[in-house]
Amino acid sequence: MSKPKKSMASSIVEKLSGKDKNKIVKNRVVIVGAGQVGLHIMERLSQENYNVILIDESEEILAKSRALGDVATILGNGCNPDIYAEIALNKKDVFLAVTNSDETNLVACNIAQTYGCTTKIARVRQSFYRSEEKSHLNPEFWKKMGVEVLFNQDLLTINEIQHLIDNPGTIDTVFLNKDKVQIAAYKVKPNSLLIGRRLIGLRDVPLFENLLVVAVNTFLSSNEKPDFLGTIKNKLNITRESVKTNTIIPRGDYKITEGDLLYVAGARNDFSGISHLFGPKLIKDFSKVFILGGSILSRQLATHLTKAYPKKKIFLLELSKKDAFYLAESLDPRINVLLTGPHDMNSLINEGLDKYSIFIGASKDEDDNVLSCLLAKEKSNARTIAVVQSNTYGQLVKYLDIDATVSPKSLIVEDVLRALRHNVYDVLSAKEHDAEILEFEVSSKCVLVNQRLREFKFPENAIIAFIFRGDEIIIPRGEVTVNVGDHLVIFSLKSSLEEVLSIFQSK
Amino acid sequence: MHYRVISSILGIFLLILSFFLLIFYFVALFIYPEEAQAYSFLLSFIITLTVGLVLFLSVGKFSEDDVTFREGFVVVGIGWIVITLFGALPFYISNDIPSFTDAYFESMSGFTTTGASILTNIEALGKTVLLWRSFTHWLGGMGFIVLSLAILPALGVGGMQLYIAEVPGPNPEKLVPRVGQTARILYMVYIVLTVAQVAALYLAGMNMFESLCHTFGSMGTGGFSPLNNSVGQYKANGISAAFSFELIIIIFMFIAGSNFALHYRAFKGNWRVYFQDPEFKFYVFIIVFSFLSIALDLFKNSVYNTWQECLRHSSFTVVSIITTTGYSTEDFDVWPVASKFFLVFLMFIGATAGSTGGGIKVLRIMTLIRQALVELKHVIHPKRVYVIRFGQMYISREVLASMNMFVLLYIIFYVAAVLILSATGFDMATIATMVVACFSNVGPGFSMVGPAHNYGFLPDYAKWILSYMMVLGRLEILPIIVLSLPGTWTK
Repeated sequence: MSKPKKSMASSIVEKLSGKDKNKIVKNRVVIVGAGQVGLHIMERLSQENYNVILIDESEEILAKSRALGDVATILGNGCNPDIYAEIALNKKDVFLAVTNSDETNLVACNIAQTYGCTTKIARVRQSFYRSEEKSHLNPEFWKKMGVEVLFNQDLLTINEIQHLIDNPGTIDTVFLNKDKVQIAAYKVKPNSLLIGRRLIGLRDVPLFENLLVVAVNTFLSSNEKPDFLGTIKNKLNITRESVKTNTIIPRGDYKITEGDLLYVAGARNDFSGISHLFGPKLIKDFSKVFILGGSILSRQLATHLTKAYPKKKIFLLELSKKDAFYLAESLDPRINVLLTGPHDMNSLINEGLDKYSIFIGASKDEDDNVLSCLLAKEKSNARTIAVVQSNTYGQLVKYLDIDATVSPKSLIVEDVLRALRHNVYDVLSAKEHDAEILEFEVSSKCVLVNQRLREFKFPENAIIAFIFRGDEIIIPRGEVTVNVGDHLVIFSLKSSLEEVLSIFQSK
Repeated sequence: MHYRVISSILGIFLLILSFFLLIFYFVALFIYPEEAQAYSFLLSFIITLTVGLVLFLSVGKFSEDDVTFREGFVVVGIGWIVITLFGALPFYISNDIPSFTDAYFESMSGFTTTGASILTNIEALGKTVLLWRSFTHWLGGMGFIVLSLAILPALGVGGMQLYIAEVPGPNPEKLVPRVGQTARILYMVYIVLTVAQVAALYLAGMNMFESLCHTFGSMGTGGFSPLNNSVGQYKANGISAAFSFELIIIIFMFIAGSNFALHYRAFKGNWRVYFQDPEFKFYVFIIVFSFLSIALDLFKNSVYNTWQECLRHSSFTVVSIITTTGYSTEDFDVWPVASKFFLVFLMFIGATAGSTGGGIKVLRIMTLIRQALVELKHVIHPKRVYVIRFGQMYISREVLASMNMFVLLYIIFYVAAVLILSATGFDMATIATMVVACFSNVGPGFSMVGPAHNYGFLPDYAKWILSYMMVLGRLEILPIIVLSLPGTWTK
C-alpha cells in the first residue's frame, strides 16, 4: 500500500468541506472515462451520495454504469469543451480524468481548468510522467498543465509489490502515522501454528505482545476448505455467494481457522518475525525474481526492482519474439529477458526458479497471472504474487495457493477515494468491500473523553486500532483512557460506519 | 539509373578538385617556385576544369528526388575512381612518375589514405608534388564527398545517401539534423585538429613543408612522408627533436583514428563522451595491450638496448598500424615474429568507425566477439533473449547482419586478392601482407613490401589490383562492388 498522500488529500478535503471541517459537503464529481477504474470510483461515490456525472464515448458502457449506480451519464469525448459548458462545470466540482489514455486525461484536466474547476485529478501510466524522477516535472509544471493530483496506477502497484516482497506473508498493508505503524493483513495458511487458537490466547505469544488483531476476514460458508478442483467448480458453476467471505471485528474468544485473513495492527518494528506464525516455510530471502509479461507494468516493475535490489537477478518473461527483443533492447541490461510463456515452468526451473525465488504474474492477462503463479508454486514452491484486475480473483485467492494478489485498479480507486474523503486514511473496502480505516482527532465534546475504553460501549463492528498521543503510540487495551487531542485510528466495518462517524463528528 | 544525376554530381566533384589544383599551381608558382611543376598543375587544372564543366553543364537540371540509395552508391564509387584519375595528373604530367599505372597507384594510395608508394627516392621529387601527394591524404581522409556536401548544400536530399556511402563505419551518425551541416562540422573539427598538429610540429622544430606533409599524413591516417625513411629519418639523422616529433605524430594519429563525432562532442564541452563510448574504450584497450606486448617481445629478444627504446618504437608502430597510417620509425620487418603477427592482426582490425582510418573497424570486431559469446551463452540458457549492446549503445539486428556481411565480404575479397596476386610468385609474407596493407589502407606490409621497401617492383596488373583493393577498403566494399553488379545499370 502506498503512503497516504496527506497534503494532497487535505488540500482537496478543504475544498470539499468548506467552512465546516467535519462535515463532508457532497459536491458534484465529474468522472471522465468509464473504464474499470472509472466505474469503480463511480460506484463507490454514488453509494456515498455524491452527485456523479460520468462521461464516456461508449453508450454501452454508460448503460452498464447506470445499472451500477445512481449517476448521470454523458455520451461524448472527455476532451470536448462543449460537454463542460453544457453541465456548467464550475470551481466547486471535483474533476476526475481516469480514461486509459494519459494524454486524454491531461487534456481533459487542462480543459476543466479553463472552466475554473480547481480540483482536478488525472490518472497517468507512462513512467515519464512520474514527477519525482525529473525535476522539471514539478508540481508547478502540473499546475500549469491544470492537474492537481496525479495518480499513477503502475507506480502504486509497483510500490505495493515491493512491499509484499519485503513483507512475506502479508496480503495487504496500510501505513499510518508517517509509516511508523501499520495494519497488515496476514493469511492463515494450512498447518499454521495459529489454527485453533483463540485470539485472547495470542496475548501470551511473545511476538504478539504489542500487536492487536483488529479484524478477521473469514468464510461465511462451511468450514471445509474446498480443494483446488472444488474452487474451480465454484467459480464455474456456483454463484458468488458460495465463495463469499465476511469481515468481522473479532472478540477475544474468536477461534482462528485455516484461510482466515487476520488484520494485525501495531508498530512497524513489532511485525518482524510474525509471518512464520501464519504459514511455515515462507522464506524472506530471495535471489531471483521472475516477472511474467511484457506489459507497461511489468517493464516498470522490472526496472524498479533492478534498482531496488541490485544484487538480485531479475527475469522478465515474454512470449512474443518481437516484444521480447524490444524489451531486451530497451531495458536495463541487468534484466534477463526470457522468451517463454506463462506455462513453461521447466525453462524457468532451468534458469533457477526455486523456493528462493519470487514469481510475479504481472502480464495483462490476469488468468495467465493466476495460473502461472499456481504452476510456479506447484513446481518450485516459489513465493508468488499475482496481479489481478477484477475483484473476483481477489476473493478467490484465499482458496488458491498464491501468496498475494495485487489489484492495480483497486489501488487507484483506494487512492482516489483517499484523496476525496475527509479523515479517511485508507479504504480497504476497495479490496474487500466492507471495511474502512479512519483517523479522528478527539475533540473536547467527544463522548469518549476521559473514559476508559472498557467502560465505553463502542459500536459493535468497529475497533480502535491505535491511539496516537503526541509521538507516543498506545495499543488500545481496555484500561487505556482517551484524552482530548488524541488521534484515534478506527477500523470500522461499513455497518458501523455511521455510528462511528456520529461519535466523532457530533456537535 | 539516372545518368544525368551522376554526370552532374561528378562534374561538381571535378570542379572542386580543380579548385585545389589551382591553389597548388600558385604554390608551385610562388612558394616553392619550380616552373615545370607549376606548368603541370596548371595543365591538370585546365583539364579537370574542362571535363568538370562539360559533365556539369552537358546535362539539364535534375531534381533531388533522383538521387536514390542506388545513385548515391554509384556516384560515390565512380566519383572516387574519377577523382583519383584526375588527382594523378600532376604526378604524370610533371614526369615525376612517368608510368601512368604508377601515377594512378600513387594517387589512389593517397586519396584512400593508404600510403603505399611506388617511389624509391621520394626526396628527388619536386616539393609541390610531394605536398600534393600528402594533401590527397587529407582530402581522402575525411572524404572528398563529405567535403562536397560541406561546400555545396545544394546536393541536399541525396546528400545523405552519399554521406552513408562514404563515411566509414557500420552506421554513420548525423551530428545535426542536416547532412550538409554535419559535413561542415566534421570538416571544422578536422581543420582545427590539422592546424593544431601543424602548429605543434612547427613549434617543435620541424620545417613548415614537412610539418604540413606529416600532418596531412597523420590526420588522414595516410602515411606518405616527404622523407625517404619516413618519420624514422629524424632519429637516424640525429635530430634532437625527433622524439617530440614522434610523440606529436602518435597523438594525432591516435586522434585521427578515433571517431570524429566524439571529438565534436568533446569540443562542445562534453569530455566524458570518450569514457562513455564503448568502441573508443576497446580501441584504447587494444592499443595499450598490443604495444605493451610488443614492447615486451622486443625487450625479450633484445632488439633494442633499453626498455624505453622498446616502448618508444612499439607505441609508435602500434598506433601507426592500428590507425592504418603506416608511418614508421623503425623497420618493423626485422622485429621478432610474435610482434609481426600482432601488427598483421592490427592491420585487419583497423581504426574506429567514423574516423579517417581503414580496416574492418574496432566496432565490428567487438560486435563479432560479443556475438560469439552470446551464442555460447545461448547454449546454456536457450530461452534467454540476448541483444548485442555495449553500455547504452545498442546494435539492432539489421545493423548486425550488415556488419557480419561486411566482415564476410572483407574475408572473401582478401582471399580472392591473395589468390590472384600469388601469380606474381613472391613469398607468402609479401603477398599476404601487401593485400591487407592495401585493403586496410595501412601502406607498408612485411618482407618485400616492408617499411624499408616500396611497391614499385610489382608488375602493373598487381598495382591495378591493389589500387582496386585500396578503394574497396576505403569505401567499405559496397559502393565499389555495386558498380560491377549488372542490376545497378538497368533502368
